[in-house]
Amino acid sequence: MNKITNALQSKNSIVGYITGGDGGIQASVNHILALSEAGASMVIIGVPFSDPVAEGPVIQKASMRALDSGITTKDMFVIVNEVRKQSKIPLILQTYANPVYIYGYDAFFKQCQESGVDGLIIPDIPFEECDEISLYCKQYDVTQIFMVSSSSDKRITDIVSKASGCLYVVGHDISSTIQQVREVSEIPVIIGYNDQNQVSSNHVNGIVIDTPIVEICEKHEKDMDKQIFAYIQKRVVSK
Amino acid sequence: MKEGRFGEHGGQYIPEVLMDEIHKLTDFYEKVKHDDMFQQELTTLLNEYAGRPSLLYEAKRMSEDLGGAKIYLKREDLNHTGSHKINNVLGQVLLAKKMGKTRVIAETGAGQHGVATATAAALMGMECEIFMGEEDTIRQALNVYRMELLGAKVHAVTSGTKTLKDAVNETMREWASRMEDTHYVLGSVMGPHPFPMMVRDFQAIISKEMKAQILEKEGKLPKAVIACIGGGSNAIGSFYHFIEDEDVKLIGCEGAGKGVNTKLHAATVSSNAPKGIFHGMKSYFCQDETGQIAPVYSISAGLDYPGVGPEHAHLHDIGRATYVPITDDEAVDAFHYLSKIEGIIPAIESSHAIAYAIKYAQTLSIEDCIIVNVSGRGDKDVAAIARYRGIDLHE
Repeated sequence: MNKITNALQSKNSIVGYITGGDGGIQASVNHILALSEAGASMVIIGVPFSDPVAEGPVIQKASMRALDSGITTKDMFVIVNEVRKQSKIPLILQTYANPVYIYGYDAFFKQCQESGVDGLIIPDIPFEECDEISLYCKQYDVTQIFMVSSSSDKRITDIVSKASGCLYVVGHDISSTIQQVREVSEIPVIIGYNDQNQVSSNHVNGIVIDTPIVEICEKHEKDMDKQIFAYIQKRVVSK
Repeated sequence: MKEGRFGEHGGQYIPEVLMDEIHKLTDFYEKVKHDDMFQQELTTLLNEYAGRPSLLYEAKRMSEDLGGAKIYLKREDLNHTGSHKINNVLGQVLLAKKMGKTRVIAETGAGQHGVATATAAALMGMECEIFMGEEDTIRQALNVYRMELLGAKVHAVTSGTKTLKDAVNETMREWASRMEDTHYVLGSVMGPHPFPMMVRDFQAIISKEMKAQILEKEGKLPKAVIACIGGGSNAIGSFYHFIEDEDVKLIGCEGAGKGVNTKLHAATVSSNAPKGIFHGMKSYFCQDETGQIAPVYSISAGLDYPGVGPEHAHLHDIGRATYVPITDDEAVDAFHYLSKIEGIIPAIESSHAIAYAIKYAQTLSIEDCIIVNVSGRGDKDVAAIARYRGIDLHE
């Protein structure tokens, strides 16, 4: 079974999110390990980009902080390499099309495989354009995680037919979207932190805790790892 | 599956949330494109409201002064709201209304597109919200008030570089969060399909008129058609009906700011910017070596965009159109030149095309003629040009 699918078998798992390099490379490594130790099932590393159109203000700012401190896409692989020395937790890079295109698809996907990246979320490579990278995903065994929204409607069946790992469900009407997905597939479903009140947690496999963790990083205090650990552990225990 | 390509450029690189709406828009546009009723309604608006057709004016004093080709100016500056932007906006807002939308949103750089959108929204009774980079709201304060006067709400965008590209980002975000009643009136031949095609179609009236007018006046086609280019809507509008006429040179003039050898420019193609994927399309983009989109600069807020529309990228690839850099200094000189010699104050954007025409006309003979698109009027730029020349003038 796909490593991502496997990690999201139980209901209501925690998916951690950090902006890669926010606070430095070592800080990111520590934060991911803290997330893992606290019981997160998977971690998404947001790749800093100048124009993160799909992100809210907190993550936009984190992206700018990382870029301003000189962090580049290449540093994401350094982070993943370091984490892999100590943890097998599934790691996902969330990025945009342009930094990957400029890195060079072959080089980027090769690096993903070598460092131990399991999957990619690229909001501006939707189903219609996935041919752009699908060959590389296959060749280097990296999963493209598709998004599905309440407006995806009839296209859900097509998207699900190409999807592996998990589906990221976003939008205004998560509950009925998940229902539509469930009619055609058992694939695990993850949703965003801000959408968790829209749906009973029994119907989702993972909740992406992004903004709260990035807000902890924003404060840039000494015991960030402990704060992240405590925040996640509390959620895992109360599950 | 790959819709809306110009060679390898274009496409639909947008978040899933917007995809369904984009498909609906594409289908709806394909329908009205061939619908006589819609086209007639649009033509009436263009003629009766915007003042089309715009004049093709022979700039005799300018031609004589330069001693080269006969120069014709396409007077898009005489349109209602003072630029070519109204052509696209009337089309899109009418389309939005037919789609059952009650609200339109748009990005704007210099404010021209925002003013045009607010105007069309007022005309057709639609709610209107405009997103404008905070920097630009300061540079173009008068246009902000103008939009508000027309009933629009103006949002100052404070994310990123606080200019045009960030205004596009913010309008995209707003659209993704509210599509049911809202249409995004994109202002240029950029973004995901169908926008580059649709906006081109709405702007192509410029070259359609140019061609008929020059044939009537000269009995032959021009040697060249020259237009300024940011995203490229007035340029593609000026080029479109001449693309098949291979003897007509098509020249796009980019904002080279302080020069293409500096970091302060917005000359995407003429600075050899690499290909990329951004704002829904594959095209050429000013960016750093890691793919971060560059904070571009031009004296002209309307040319201050880090990319070009995908059709221009393709015309460049196949060698059909040429793109040249024009610096701030050259554009400001042209701004003064045309004002003094013809009594026409061109927009600082259009001044980039004038600047190249001044150089280019002199290389041709008196038997030749060229057309320059004056995409907008320069009233909005007067204070900024005065300040550029060291005069402390504020609106």
